[in-house]
Amino acid sequence: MFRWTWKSLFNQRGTLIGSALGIACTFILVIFFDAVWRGESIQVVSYPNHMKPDVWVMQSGVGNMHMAMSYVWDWKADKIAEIPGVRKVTPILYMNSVVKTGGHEMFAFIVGLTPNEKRAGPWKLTAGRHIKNSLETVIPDVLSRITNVSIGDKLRITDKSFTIVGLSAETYSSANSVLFVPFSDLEDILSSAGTYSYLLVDAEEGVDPKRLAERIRNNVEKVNALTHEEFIKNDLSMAKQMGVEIIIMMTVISSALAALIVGFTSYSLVIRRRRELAIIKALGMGSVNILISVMIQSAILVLIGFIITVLFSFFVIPYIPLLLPQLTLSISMNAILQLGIIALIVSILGALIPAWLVSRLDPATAFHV
Amino acid sequence: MFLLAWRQALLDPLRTILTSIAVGSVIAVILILGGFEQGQYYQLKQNILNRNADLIITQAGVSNFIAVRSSIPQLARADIKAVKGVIDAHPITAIPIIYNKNNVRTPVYVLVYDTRGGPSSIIKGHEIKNGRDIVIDISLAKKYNIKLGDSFNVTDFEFKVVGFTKEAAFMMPFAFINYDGMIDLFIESEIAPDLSTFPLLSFMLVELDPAADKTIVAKKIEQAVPSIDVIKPEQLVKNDVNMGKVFFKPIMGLLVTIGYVIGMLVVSLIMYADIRARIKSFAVLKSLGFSFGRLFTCVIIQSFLLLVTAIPIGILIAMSISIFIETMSPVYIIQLFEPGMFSQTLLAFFIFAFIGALIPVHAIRKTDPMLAFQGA
Amino acid sequence: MTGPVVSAKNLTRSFGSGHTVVMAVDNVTLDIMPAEIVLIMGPSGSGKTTLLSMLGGLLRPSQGTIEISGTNITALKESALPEIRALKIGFIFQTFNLLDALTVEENILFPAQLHPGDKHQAKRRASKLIKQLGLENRRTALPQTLSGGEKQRVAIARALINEPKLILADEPTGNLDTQTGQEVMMILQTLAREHGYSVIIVTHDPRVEDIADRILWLEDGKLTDRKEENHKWVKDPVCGMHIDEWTAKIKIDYNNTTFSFCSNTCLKRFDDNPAKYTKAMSTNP
Repeated sequence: MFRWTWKSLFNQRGTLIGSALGIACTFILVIFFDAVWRGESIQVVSYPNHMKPDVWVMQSGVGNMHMAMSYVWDWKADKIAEIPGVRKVTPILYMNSVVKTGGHEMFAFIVGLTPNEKRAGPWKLTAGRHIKNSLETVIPDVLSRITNVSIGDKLRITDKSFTIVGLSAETYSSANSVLFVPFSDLEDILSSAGTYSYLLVDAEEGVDPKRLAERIRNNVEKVNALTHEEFIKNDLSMAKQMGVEIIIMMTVISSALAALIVGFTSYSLVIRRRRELAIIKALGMGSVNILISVMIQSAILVLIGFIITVLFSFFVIPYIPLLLPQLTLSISMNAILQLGIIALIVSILGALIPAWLVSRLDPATAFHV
Repeated sequence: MFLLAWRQALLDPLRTILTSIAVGSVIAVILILGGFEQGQYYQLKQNILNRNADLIITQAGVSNFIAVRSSIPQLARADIKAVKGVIDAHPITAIPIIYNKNNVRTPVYVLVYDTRGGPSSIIKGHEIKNGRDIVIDISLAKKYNIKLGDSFNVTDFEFKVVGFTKEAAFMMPFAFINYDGMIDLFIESEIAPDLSTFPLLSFMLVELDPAADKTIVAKKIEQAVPSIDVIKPEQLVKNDVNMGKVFFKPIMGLLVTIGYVIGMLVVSLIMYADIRARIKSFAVLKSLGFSFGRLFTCVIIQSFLLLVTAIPIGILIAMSISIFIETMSPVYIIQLFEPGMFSQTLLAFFIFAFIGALIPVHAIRKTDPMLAFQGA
Repeated sequence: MTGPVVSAKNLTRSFGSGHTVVMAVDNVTLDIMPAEIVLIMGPSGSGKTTLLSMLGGLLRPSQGTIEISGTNITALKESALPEIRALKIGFIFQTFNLLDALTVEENILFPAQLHPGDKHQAKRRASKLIKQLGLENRRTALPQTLSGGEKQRVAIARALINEPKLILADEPTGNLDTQTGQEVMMILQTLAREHGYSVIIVTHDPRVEDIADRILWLEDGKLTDRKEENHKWVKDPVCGMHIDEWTAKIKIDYNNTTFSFCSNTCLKRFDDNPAKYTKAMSTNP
């Protein structure tokens, strides 16, 4: 029976390939949604993730960076520096705004760095240099490609015009590219004299960041101190909750669509081979056997679609950002595993209608002309 | 030929329903993706238009409304009001905050208003009456199960929810407070440690004399207050929508493209499978004297019929899902029937129907009419 | 006297090439006159369907010419052939080949859209045919609800809707029981005798011989005339089945007598014990 199933499925190669591709496409849509969502979320926390201080200090009531606003008095940084176990305090100013360059406007995370501060600056320069002077900026290299600007070109933040002096890697995302500017310039823009946004606190060796954070919270008024892990977790969950409903709905629709394609293909095969199936029934084969055959057919289709998707996920999706640098995609094994479960459900759902048809098949059809 | 294609569809209703739902689902996927994108642009637009201004004043160099930092001099209001043609200038301030309750964080765009620019409509409750009052977007209320009268903490400052509105943009729900509330918030929560340095004014909504010329007045205001830009709301809408496109287009474009590929594959697959299943009928028709052109016409009609049944199904599915999404998460608006996107989707599917009809052309062309002599 | 409806000259159709070439139809010349019923018989694989397909413009001959009502269809372009098939030829198939999605009346009317006449005329012709063929009660029925005989009557009506001069029938009684087959034969005979259609029937069914004006025998691609009196019904000495000695392929001479067999199995049994079967034949001829 399995042999017949296999052969009859592969006998209709056009249908098989078309269906498998259709299923693969819907699965790819699911994976792609997930990859975009994860990629963007990861990119959103790219800056804090690369900074990796032991403790992040911010205004009380604030717990993350993405889309947040935080003000910490400058004297609080000095106070924190004196707390035992603190090796270094690096202050940054941070603003979320629109920047203009090369005739384009886009959202950006703007980080203001104190003079000669490299601790909180770009970690991988691909061209040019770090900022040294007023009204200089380092922008993501991807942004320079998209907007067609390069070193020496101008970039506007509100009414200030900055000169691009360096390009950095791993700092681009369509949601928020990370730009670096001198502290004093951002202070002007923010009108925030005497304050910092976040403090990156590095602990002395052997000091437990969790305890240090607690010590900071206890010793300095109206600040929040979180370990790097807690801070990133908050930021990531903030980034991920945006658009999550759409992702879930699209996963559901795409999976339903895949089930429909499987159902349609299996149904078409059953209809086309109705007479053969009737003959098989007339020859004494039980309905259960035929049902199993239909299920196998559906499982094979889904499996092929799934394999195409997995191959696509590992060999094509990672290269899409080369063509579309504005996309950050992240494939996760979790998503693949989830898709595997979806595929299983899809193959069962897809076999339902043909199975119903098979159960109603009259063996007497074998005698019809 | 139409009769044959039509009857063919009726002959196997289950198959017809299945194929129509399959194609309809793809149409729905694309409509929802497109509708989501258009919804974002719609919200960006409404977010400005709802402020009800003839002209909007921003910090010099700032040409957007959403998610930007704009700071205009506090004393500018008097200078602006002094310009001929200006009836009033209403201040508003935008404060992006992260609302955090039980460790669930949501970015919220708080708009501070005085005499104009508040919530466009109150779905439930009432407008702000004192500094502790806050009106929040219904999606926030739904997400955190907030009821009228509940507290709403921004950093350490406690507001009281007095009304629900429906205003959001960029996947961010809005909240509205007045200036009393803002100053209390700044002082009590240390958001602004020094009020003298903190930007109290982000934008100014200018109300003009109906007889005044917008362009002329805008120029006069810019001359009177050099550190600001005066922008017409429609221009600001354009700027924000364009920025929204920079944000959404690459991702949505690719997703919609994948959707289109699926659509084309599904239509082609259905047509191919259908024609292959009926290849003998085509052989018979050929033997009866039907030319290839007529048979192709029949396939095209069939393909278009499939679309005609699939489109309403697709719209129904898309409507149901968008209602579901909007109910579950009112921060989103799915604009399924935005004319440009809607007609583009339908046009694409009509092209797919034609391509779908082309797929089995080779099979029909090479169908041997002698097949008609073969047994069942 | 009018000329032939079909005139085929030196028709040859081969398949394959080189040493694998098969002559399905080999130098066949044939004229079919108006109102004539011609039967083409022959063993399986003898080329009957190939010949019928060529006469119907479905298959081009390798050599030779075919004229249908004076039009040399072998000289026509491929694109001109559908019109010939639609207007000058009516096909009847063994498996009926009705369009499942259409009702009886719609099936009959379906080729009428290829006829230059108007719709009302076609409808009138269809109604007349429905009446003539006794399908009045089945006018709106779908093919799947019809009996075999009804299906074939619908197929005949469909073949006649455009009033062609020539009817080509491939095993028209092949899927029908004796009585229904008989009815179909009578319809075909009436079409020729009363309405002047020329009918070419390819069949294995010896019952059809009764209505034929001419019987042609096609074997190994060659066509020969066969008179009805050439039948010589003999008994297979092993199984007792009646077979036509004229067409039987399995024969042996034994004791100066020719024995014909239905199959190699009977021949083998005979070879194993000829005495047993010759004795039985002599006692029970």
